[in-house]
Amino acid sequence: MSKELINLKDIVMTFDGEDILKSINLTVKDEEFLTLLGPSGCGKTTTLRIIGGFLTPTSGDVYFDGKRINDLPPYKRNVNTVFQKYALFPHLNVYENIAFGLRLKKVKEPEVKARVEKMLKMVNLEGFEKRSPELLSGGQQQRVAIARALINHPKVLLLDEPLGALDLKLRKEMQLELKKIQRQLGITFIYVTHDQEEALTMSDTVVVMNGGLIQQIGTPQDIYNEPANAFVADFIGASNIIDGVMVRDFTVDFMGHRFECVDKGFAENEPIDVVIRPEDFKLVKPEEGMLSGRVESVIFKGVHYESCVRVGERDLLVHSTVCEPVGSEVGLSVIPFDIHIMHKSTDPASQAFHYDEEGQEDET
Amino acid sequence: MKLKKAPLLSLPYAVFALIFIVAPLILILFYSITFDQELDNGTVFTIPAETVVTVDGKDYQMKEDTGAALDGVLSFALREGPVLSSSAGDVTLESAASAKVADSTTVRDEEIGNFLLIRSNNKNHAKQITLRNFFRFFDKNNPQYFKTLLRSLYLALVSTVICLILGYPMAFILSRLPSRVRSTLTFLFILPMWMNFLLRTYAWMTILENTGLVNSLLKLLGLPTVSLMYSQGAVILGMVYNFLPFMILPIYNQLIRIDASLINASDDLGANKVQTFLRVVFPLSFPGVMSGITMTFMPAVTTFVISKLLGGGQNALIGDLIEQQFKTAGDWGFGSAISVIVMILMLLAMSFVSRYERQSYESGGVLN
Repeated sequence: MSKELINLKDIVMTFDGEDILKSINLTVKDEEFLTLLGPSGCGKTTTLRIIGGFLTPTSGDVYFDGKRINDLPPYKRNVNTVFQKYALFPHLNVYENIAFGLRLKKVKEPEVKARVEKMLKMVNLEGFEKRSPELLSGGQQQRVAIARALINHPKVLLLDEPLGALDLKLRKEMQLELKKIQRQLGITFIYVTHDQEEALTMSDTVVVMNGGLIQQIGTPQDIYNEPANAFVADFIGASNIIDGVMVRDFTVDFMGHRFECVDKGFAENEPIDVVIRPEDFKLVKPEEGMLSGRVESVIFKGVHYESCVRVGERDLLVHSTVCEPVGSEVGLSVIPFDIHIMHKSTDPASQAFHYDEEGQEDET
Repeated sequence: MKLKKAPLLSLPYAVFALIFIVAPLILILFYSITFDQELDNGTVFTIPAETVVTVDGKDYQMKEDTGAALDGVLSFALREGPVLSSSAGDVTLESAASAKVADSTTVRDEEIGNFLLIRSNNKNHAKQITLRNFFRFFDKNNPQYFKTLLRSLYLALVSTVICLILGYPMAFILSRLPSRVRSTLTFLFILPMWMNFLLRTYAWMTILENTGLVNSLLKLLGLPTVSLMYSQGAVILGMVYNFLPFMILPIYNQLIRIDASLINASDDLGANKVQTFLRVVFPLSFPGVMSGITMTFMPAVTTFVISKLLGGGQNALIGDLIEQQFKTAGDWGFGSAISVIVMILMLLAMSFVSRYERQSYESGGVLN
């Protein structure tokens, strides 16, 4: 797992004068489950396609097992892809779809049969050999696509939002199954998704991207607990991002109060962003809270209630199993460990993430 | 969608189909099995004894085989029956010549018995329901008609193959071009189709003639002139020129519908460009190829303008034969029979093609 398999060095990709990727540096280790996570247009699929060989970077180098492979066409790379819409061959049945890669290598029929059957067994599709892929459900097509990509024994499997078209329940099942297959085969998976939960569930390493730049690389725990900037914090889960001032080490001012925290190494009185996750707030009696405010709205979310609490000029999001009625005065408390301090950034890509709604307004 | 109102909605189409498709078809079928026997006055033909003669709803049985001479009056000896003085009306003679009659009379001859006298209106015609038009087409002693059909099929096949060989690469290149160039080129391909078919073929005449463009150029260069017109080559050229767009467009339409991700997938699984073409692109474009072949072959088999203008008399095709039967020979029955034979051939070809299409790839091309 420690061996470096793929290295991306200063990758820049420009389409029609627009920078899709701005200097991507990434190392993928052997047998790792790595996820590229980001909103649409962040460059994650472009990065995947560069590794797959479908795109040649404008500048920068791609190394595979120490060899530079910038100009190697896809069919010569020891990498296979599961495409977004599966891209199964409609003129071939399930068996021939999976056998496609072996047929190209002129593998003898008995071996083809054995390997296809093994693959079908792995993805739980025994008995579907003769079916046309068009007659399969989304989940089954997905399995065929995975089997087809894995039959060549690639060192790396690239998956481009493979579960995007499936319903929630099936998606959860397939997440576990993919993870199982990855462990079983011991190969590297590079997985592209915009679903933060999916990324956290499956990955060894999560790469959060935005605006053609890598925002943070880390384990799911790192990414979730120690977001590097406001964008990551916001994208990984609904967060309260509050302007604050770092008075000195372990002491921060925000929302008119002084809090104790666990961060240090900032300049004295440096303006910073404070991130507090909604579930880290505790709803208490008004007089017991560090902050106090009024409940503006409550939404039932199944596991918890999502309350919006107005504290002074700001609305704070609070996830709690306790439901306080709308209009009631409540107090909020938070422990120092859950107060995350981040440097203010000038790069727009690392700002908190907001879906661009201007396009819709233009139409009206 | 609930189709409760479908019958009502489809009524206009049903009426349309009845008037423009079913009625002419029935007419052609009817003509193809009728035979206009042109009888000379005095021609003797035999009416068998079983023939039942119906006059104004009454049946008469013939006494014996009757040799009747056609000179305006037919007379039959009847086994028995009422004696009518005079009666005008429809007389049908089953299984023999039928005639529209002006009037008929039954009389009694003391020696022979009852007689039926029929005075025919159109004494020179006797319409017969028969398959002889079809037998005539396949007559071994007179194989010219069948040979014409074979020639038509051969020339159509050759030009279809040439269209395919020229058309597929063109469609392929077209489908790979950037979309702006692509639409311009497609437009250029369709442009000649805006001009009248006849006009385009006449244009080729002026190019191929002995004093035409090609020979003028050859003369200018001091080369010997060649005779290009009135040959099978000229007919094939005319067909290829006229029908090439019908080959290119369905193939092109099929090719641009192929999802780029399928080609990526093939690449990804280890196929080089040639393998991807043979294993993915061509099989997926196959319905387009089938449509192209149908849309080229069918009109090529039945064309008569091209062969007439560029092929001269000796390269007459089945279309010419049909036209000639209707216009010159006036034998609508035989002309219709040839049409029916060609139609049956086309239907067979179509069913063959559609079966192939279904086998290869579910969603088909232009012709579905």
